[in-house]
Amino acid sequence: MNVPGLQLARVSKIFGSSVAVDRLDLDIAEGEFISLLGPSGCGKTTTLMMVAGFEDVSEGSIRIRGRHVENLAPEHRRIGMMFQAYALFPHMNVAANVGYGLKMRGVAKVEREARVKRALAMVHMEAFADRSPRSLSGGQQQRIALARALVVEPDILLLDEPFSALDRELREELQHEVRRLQQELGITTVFVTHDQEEALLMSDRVAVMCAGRVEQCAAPAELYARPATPFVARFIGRGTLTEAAVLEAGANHCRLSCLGREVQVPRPLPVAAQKTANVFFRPEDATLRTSPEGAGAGLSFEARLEAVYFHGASSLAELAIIPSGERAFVDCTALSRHAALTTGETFTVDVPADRIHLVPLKP
Amino acid sequence: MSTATGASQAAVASRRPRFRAQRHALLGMPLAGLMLVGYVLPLVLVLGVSLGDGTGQRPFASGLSIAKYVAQFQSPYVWRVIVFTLVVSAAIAVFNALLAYPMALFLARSRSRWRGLAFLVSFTPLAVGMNMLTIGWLIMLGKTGVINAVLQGLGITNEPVSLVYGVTAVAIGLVHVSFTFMLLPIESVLRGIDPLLERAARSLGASPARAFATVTLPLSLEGVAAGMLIVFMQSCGAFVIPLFLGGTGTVMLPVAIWEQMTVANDWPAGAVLAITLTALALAVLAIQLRFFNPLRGAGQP
Repeated sequence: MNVPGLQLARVSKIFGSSVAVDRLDLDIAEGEFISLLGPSGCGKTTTLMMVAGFEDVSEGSIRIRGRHVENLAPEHRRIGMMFQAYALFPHMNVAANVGYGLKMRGVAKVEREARVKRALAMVHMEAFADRSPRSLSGGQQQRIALARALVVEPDILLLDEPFSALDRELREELQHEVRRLQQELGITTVFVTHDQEEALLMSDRVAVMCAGRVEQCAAPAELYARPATPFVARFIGRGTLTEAAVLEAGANHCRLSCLGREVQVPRPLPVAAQKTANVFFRPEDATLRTSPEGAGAGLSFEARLEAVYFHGASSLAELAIIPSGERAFVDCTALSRHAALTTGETFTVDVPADRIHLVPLKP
Repeated sequence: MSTATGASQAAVASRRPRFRAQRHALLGMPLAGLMLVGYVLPLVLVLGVSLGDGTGQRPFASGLSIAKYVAQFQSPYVWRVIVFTLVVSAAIAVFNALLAYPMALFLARSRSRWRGLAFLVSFTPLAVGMNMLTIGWLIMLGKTGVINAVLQGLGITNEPVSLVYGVTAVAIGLVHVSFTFMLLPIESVLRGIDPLLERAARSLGASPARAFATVTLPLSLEGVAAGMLIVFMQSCGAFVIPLFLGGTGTVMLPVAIWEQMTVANDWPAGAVLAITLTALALAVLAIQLRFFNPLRGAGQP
């Protein structure tokens, strides 16, 4: 039988009268890398701390490799943890830091030294064994922290925003390093971050959290292409979200009235028998043109250009839909190459019908 | 050209910190002046007097000599006073550390609403002042004092117990008066220790007690050492408390100095003891700095 690496069942955390984590269900497969992503205060860190044992569980159960841990102290949960502020012991050298967990587990000195050496080699820091953590750069310190967490061969690796104190280049290097080791060792990993780019880049699955609940838990590509709630649609990447009235709901299609036009979308409503639907599309699925005449078979509307964001390889136009003023984001890389895009001017936005994603309304 | 610019930049870079250092040295001048007039000069005078061979206010009867040093260090009484002073001061430093550490931990870690009150209470020895504190303990511990009244009232004792004018009273007074000086450095160092470190230790398999013993305690020893040094020196130099709360068997060095200067009217002998006290304090300071140097690491990147 396949036992999940980590299983949260209806886990809640209540602080006084406020609910930080609300009946959370999450199954994480053995060896899976999952991110808890969300704005600050969404409960992602509280969830991680409950898994680690630094916060009590108000309700529900947590199982690591099938073992109930909600009543165990952190030191008995067989976890490995990385913190944002590295949290290396300043009064011990690098080798003693990495060996600390083995010492606490009563591993004999000879074996301890060999395992510390192997762990340091794993993160390419074997030359720094005798150094003081204070003499190392942030990236090097975080490598030591990674070695220290992994050397004890924990059942689960918990990462509490470990890259947010690092500058961009180092961050990318360490993200790659952590992901490589995680896959090599096949260790179940929970990663807390508010940086969606890093969550999408590293994870097998991302759990987007809001107000103590998981809004959607899916693979990064799925999350991007098919957000399951308006919150996820707005939170992940750029996109345009607007409401449409349902004219006809079929088994394989639906007809909507959206922004003054009738559109036939070649997929059913996400939730049957609703009077309205959320229409959603990504900037790269829409096109921008200057002439108002002629329209394709999809969604088409007029909007006023508010700003153009140049990203090097691509350009993004931010527009205000006429007349509602709702935000729309459209890729304008091609257009910006041969036309001057003046803010304040009116453009026509086209979205092919098959590129429209319907986001379920809040139940 | 670029090398010339580089060289001049290097010159500027090397000049600037030195200029800053000089300016910062100026900030220390008022204190240096005060120390010179109020400490170094009297010390030189005392050193001079200690080399006299007369008595009373005419220390120099027939020129300089080390006769008084020889005489003082041949006296078993002086040795007893020195050893007693060192032992009592060390014991008070140790006892005070044990007493102040839990309190410091509470003040550094607690989010309790009693924290502010606890801070206030721990400052009272400073606010009350040493003289009031001494009188307070005299009243508490005296034969007709509060503690004896309670003991007799409860029928635990039939007649007054002699609590004052002994080593117990001196120790109580010295611990009380120096408590804040032990508490503050420990509390300050503890507050500077990232609580995440103990969490990291716990995540690696350490029990709360072990995480404390292997992480927080060793990191806080610098504060304990600083507090113990201050308390030790303060106890070695305490005068009012051993004079009023102590008896003939608990004479500490400052009291002995005072005895020589005023009772025996022997200024050179008193000066010899004063120089001895200063030398002992400096020796302890040197040993302390050898193991716990608060300046260490200040210049490191």
